[in-house]
Amino acid sequence: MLEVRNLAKTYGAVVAVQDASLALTPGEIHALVGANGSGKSTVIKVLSGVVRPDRGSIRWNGAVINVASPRDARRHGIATAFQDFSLIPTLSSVENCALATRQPAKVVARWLDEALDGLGARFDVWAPVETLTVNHRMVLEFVKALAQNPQVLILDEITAALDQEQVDCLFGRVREQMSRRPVAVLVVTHRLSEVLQYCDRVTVMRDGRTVSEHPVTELSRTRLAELIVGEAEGSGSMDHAGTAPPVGEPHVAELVQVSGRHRVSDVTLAVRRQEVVGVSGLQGQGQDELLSLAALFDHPKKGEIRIHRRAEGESEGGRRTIVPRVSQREIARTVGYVSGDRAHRGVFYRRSLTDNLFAQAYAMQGMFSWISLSRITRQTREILERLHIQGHPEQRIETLSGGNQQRVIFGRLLLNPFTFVVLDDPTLGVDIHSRRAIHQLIRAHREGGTLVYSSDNDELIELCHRVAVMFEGRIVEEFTDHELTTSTLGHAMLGRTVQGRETR
Amino acid sequence: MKWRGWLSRWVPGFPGIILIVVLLTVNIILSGTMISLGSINDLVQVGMPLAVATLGQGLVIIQGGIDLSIGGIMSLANVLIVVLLPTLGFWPALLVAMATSVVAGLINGVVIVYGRVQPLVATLAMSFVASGVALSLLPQPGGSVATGVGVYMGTFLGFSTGIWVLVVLLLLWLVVKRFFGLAIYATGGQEHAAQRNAVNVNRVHLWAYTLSGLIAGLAGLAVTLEIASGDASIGASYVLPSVAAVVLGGTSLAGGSGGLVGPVMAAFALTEVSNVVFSTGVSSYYQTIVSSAVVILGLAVANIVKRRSSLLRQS
Amino acid sequence: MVRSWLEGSRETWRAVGFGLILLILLVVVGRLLIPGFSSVRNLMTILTLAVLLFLPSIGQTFVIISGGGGVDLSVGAIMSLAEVVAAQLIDGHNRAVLPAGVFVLALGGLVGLINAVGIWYLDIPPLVMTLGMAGIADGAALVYTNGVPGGAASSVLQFIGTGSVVGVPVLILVGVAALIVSQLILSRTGYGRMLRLVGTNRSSAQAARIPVGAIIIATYVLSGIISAFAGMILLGYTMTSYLDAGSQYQLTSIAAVVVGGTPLLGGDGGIGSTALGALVITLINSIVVSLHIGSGAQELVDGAILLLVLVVYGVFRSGSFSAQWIRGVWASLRLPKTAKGESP
Repeated sequence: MLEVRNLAKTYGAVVAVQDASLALTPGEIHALVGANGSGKSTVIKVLSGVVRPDRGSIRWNGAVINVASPRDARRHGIATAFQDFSLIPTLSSVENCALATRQPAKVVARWLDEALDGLGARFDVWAPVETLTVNHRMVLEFVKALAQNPQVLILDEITAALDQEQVDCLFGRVREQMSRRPVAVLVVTHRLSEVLQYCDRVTVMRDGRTVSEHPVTELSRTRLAELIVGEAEGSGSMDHAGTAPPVGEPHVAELVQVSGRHRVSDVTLAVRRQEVVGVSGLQGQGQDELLSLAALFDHPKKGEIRIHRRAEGESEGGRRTIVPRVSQREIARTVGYVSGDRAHRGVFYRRSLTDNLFAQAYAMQGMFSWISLSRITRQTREILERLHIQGHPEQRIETLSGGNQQRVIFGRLLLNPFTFVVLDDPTLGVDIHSRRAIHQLIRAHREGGTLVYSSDNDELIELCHRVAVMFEGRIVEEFTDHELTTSTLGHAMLGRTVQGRETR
Repeated sequence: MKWRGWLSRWVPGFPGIILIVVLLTVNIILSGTMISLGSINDLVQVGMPLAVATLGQGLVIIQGGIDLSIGGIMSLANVLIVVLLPTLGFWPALLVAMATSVVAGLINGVVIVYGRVQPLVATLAMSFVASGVALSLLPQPGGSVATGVGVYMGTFLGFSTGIWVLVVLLLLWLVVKRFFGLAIYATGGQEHAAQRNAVNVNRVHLWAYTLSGLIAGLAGLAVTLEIASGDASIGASYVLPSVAAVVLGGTSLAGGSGGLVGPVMAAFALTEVSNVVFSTGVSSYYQTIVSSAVVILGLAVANIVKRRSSLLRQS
Repeated sequence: MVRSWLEGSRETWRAVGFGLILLILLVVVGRLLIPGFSSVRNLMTILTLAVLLFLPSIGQTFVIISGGGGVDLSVGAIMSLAEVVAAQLIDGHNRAVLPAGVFVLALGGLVGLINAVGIWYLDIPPLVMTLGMAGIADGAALVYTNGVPGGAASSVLQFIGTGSVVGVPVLILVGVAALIVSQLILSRTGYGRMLRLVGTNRSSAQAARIPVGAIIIATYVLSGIISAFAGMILLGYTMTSYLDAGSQYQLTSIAAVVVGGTPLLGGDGGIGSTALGALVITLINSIVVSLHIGSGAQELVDGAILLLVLVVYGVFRSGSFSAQWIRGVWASLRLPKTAKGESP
């Protein structure tokens, strides 16, 4: 039995955890849930020896243990799969596992392939980890933690980039391990369905405190959501986009028989003004490539991409068509982009809120433009107010919680009404509060059209007028209105139509 | 599956190996003589100081740093041997020189780990200190070394002594790599991830800089045996070429990847460049231009080839 | 107003404070050790020397801010090349200054452009690429002069290098002007704002449509041009040309940037702090030189002080000088014992 008692941790003036207590029982999967900034990750970091608490103790079967470093954590049999990874990018998967398990690489190579295969991830285990996709890295991070044969296994939002099938396999593996030896498992996740489906017990954190603990059987989805937010949640969260699909509006983006260099082949898709179009599919069916093509980051190998921008100063009729080979500045003016991969595709840590907000605006104005500090500071204040974020324009962005960081990035869409907005899993790892706020921002984007990918089908159903499902690089099915349900999407994602026949 | 792993581990050393082969061929064509064991032994002798310096540099770079003090420490070792030789004799003088080199390297490590100074500037400052000490001890080049030169210049089983020393050092590296390799590569690859894997990164840094100090001392010994006298500024010209050789040998400056065989080959290749330029008989003014251009072109070609091959793999 | 002018992050501020304290400390030490050290005339001399270091350090700062291991080891060689070529072209004639200046700046820009091409298009690490170009520029100076540099500065150039206006050396005015202009470029132009973002996170910059390649290329070209300009100024200061007049600036320009508080990982830092860094290094240098202790001991003391400054600064900057830091040092010193049998 691993117990955490009265944990507290402050970073400078920021109180991360005020008072957290937690008890893990071997043989049980325990979920730790809470909004972003509620202190979950700090608890995890303390347990894995990455961060030292100001106060509080960790006990193993009643005796206080000292977890002052990752080495101590390892000595006590605590293994963690980190959300932001503990993989060495330059080493291969085999070497990474060898490093973690202290086994020779030869031994690791013998079991690794098979272990990964079981979780739906096939790739070259000798390739450097930096060449792997996020999905593969997450699977590897999990396999690596499990291979340490721990007494306490901590999974920190490890499922965020996995698809449903993989999550299923993953928890299957955890249960299998538990049947062999009594492991205490702690899972941190934002997906409530995972908590209800796979976990035995749940502890809720709010504002740096653990507020309650429940057996999962006593909870419903709504009750759990209420506990996290700390208030009764409105029941309308699963509604459709709310507005009728815009029928007469002109197309803002057209992909005509587009094929990419990797997976995408022969995709035709159009987005109208005021329309929100979703893209769904299992991991690795070419969604990421499609998005990067649509956002004009890549050139298509075949086919055509056209984005129609209303020409400046002209009436409704005058339009300007943008193709991939136009200047960066022109693209900057036309296409907005927000990714859930904040650390790599969004946020500039160590920089001010102003710079984070204006990044694309600088690009629009070009290298030789003169920037008026008073003007951008004023505009930042306005946007922060509209986003309901407490903060100073000069404040560094890492002082905000993850959800608020993402909202600042969405502020770029408020700053410039882009003709076409591409969103790549925009609420990945974002708490319920911010997620709702972000959804409102997406719906409020009336100037142009939106293309959104999400690993969470519920989110697509909630947001989109229309959802295209990808399978092996192609769009196999499109759903609108009442056809748009979890089950239809789920079927199509596996490459089957609703009737159950193969579409290939 | 497996051969790819082998390939990915050996490919990084390729540019260095290919370069030396190309340059040797060029030299043969230009000078009109066939390659002989003798000419290889000559090359090894002349290239030895840079090759050894590159070894230390490579080690430090792989674990995620850089060592600009190698030259200063080389000079210091050289001067110490020459100055102490008359009073202490060869071996004690050598011992003092090596001990001093180790201490200098250790100071680097301490300053970088506990003083939180960036390696580039910390070792730069150390290079001032070391060459300053060397210059104070021996303001004018001079002195002479006789002991050991004969052995060094001689051959063993037909190969120059230097080759054997180098082979021993490289074997030592393989042993180090076998037991500590992952920790070294992990620290260089991403320090905080290495920490999460319970690697004691501070200890890796300390060891690497200390070892690099010792190896720089050995490079100083090699240069002493080659010129058989003392010169307080002899090491300066080896610092940046050692960095160039590491990169040319396929080891990334970012750390965490590559090896040491390629860099050592590249070090000899850089030495061979001067031989080639010398045999063409052009003005020595062009010397730096040519060797710099070779480094740049070598890297450019290697990168273009790498990009091509990765594109091929994708399609 | 002042705050936005010297706008920067908290660490930069701490660095500036640290630099100022250091500056005062050094002047006091100099005054105690050397008679006449704090005379106006001597301080002016030190300031002019600091400007000569500051000028190439400006380009260095831009390059270091651009991140990705960015560093420019060719600044010294470009300075030497510019000085030698300008001297030969001008050869004492005032009317030749302008065309020679344009030519020399273009030459510096060209070297910078080649640097940028190698770094951006061919993925050559900046350290090695700029080092290679330094070798080529040095060699080019040798070939151009055939080993015997000739020519001389003209009276205008001499006035810039050694003259003074109402008691203030012109060089100091040049330094102040360069400080203002480059700080404005960094904080008020699209280029400067984007440069910081590129240095902070390249992939996020790409996602925000910032033209990363153009920014990087512009930065190295700028550094080349600035170094060439510094070479011209250096010619005015020395009046006749020497072959490797600029080589001493190759590494000290980096030291100036770092002592000023700009970390080498990119994104952070500013021109003001680099000016402070250049001043600190020049002060240390002048104090050590005035001690007349022989060149070896000079270099030794120079290096030791630099090391000390960096350590004190490194410990202070991370805000980590505290009981916890001492505990941490103690803990890791002791670790090898407790970690027995667990070695990786």
